[in-house]
Amino acid sequence: MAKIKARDVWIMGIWKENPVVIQVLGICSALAVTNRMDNALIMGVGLIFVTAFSELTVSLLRMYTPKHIRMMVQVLIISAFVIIVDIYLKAYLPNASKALGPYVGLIITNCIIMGRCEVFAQKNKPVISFLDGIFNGIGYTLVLMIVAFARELLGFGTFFGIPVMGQGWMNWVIMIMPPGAFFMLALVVWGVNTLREKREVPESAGEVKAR
Amino acid sequence: MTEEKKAAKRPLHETYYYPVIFMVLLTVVFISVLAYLNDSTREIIETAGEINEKESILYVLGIDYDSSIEGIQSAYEEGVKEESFGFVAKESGIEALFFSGSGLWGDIEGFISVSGDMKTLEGLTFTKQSETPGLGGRIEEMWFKEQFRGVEIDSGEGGPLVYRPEPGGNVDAISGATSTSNAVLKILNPFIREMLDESRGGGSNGQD
Repeated sequence: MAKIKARDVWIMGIWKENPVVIQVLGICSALAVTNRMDNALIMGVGLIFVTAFSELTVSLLRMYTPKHIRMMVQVLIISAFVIIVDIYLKAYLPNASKALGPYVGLIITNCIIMGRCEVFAQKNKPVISFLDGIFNGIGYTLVLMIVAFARELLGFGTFFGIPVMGQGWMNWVIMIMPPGAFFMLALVVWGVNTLREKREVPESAGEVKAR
Repeated sequence: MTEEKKAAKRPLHETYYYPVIFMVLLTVVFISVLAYLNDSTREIIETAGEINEKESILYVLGIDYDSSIEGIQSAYEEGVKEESFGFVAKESGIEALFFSGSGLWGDIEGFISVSGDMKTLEGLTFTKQSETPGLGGRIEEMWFKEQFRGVEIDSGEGGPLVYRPEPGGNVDAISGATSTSNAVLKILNPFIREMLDESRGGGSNGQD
């Protein structure tokens, strides 16, 4: 495997292999928390933290971890970091903790963390793994923010809770309910993939085939 | 014999007990870290919880307060009297009572307050809920809580709280969160009726 540079990691995480749009990971939470931008943002920041530190720890321990129990080890590490986030929010940001409620615990079910630990951190050095976690988290957060922006704008007529649509605006209630999440996320996935194909197929067609 | 010798020579990470030792050690390390964090933040979390509760009580009793920790403490000590049934505002005589019941996903807890003569609701707030954020979770928003202020509660059957546009409706439900909205009334209505019955039964001795 060719040596992976920090520059590649961020392009991969945010654009080329965006965890939500390209790898279709972390969909459950992308659907659930995107009816408001503040919820989506806190969720994203939590995920960035947990993914980065889990990947760092998994990578540090990768030489010592017996191969056949590595999944158990990963789950243990990820859950520990999720609990740390939960305790931190409860102690120092009680309002954020209250607003997010059950979602903090749900960070652990996000496939992105486990996926990146298994695919990337298990095979790469600690620092680059840490960066990979950060950029994959950012990639996830960006998609969430885009979906949440559209849903909140149309569903509540607000932007981060500030009314922007004016008096005559009728809220599209469907956008803040679960179907709205499916519509918006599908549109974003469709849009990004169309854009990507247009831009990238001509130069890297051979590479795609080789896979 | 020779096989046993081979086994003994195996490096540690290839032995069959190595995974067990590894897992145990790792678990111990992580649990110690978490236990330490939990222990060192317990006091902060408990005080935050207490302040939160006092703030909720001040809010339902309609007492003005400064939103710093000291402001809440002093406003609470000056303005609130703790009784066996709940909390009473010293100046206005408004009474706050604790209620709880089940919502859509988990328990909903909070305080509701009534005027001293038991004729109108004076406030409502939630201290614990795990409803869907952005939908049912909006019961914590001001517009929802504020509309319960001043609702008359002598209206009797089917109520006293009814969502508009039903006949006799006096508060708005949250669109997109029907289950949570209904759960709130299902908790509050019996609670208020019971409270009224008790106060009538108990109050008549003194007043007549």
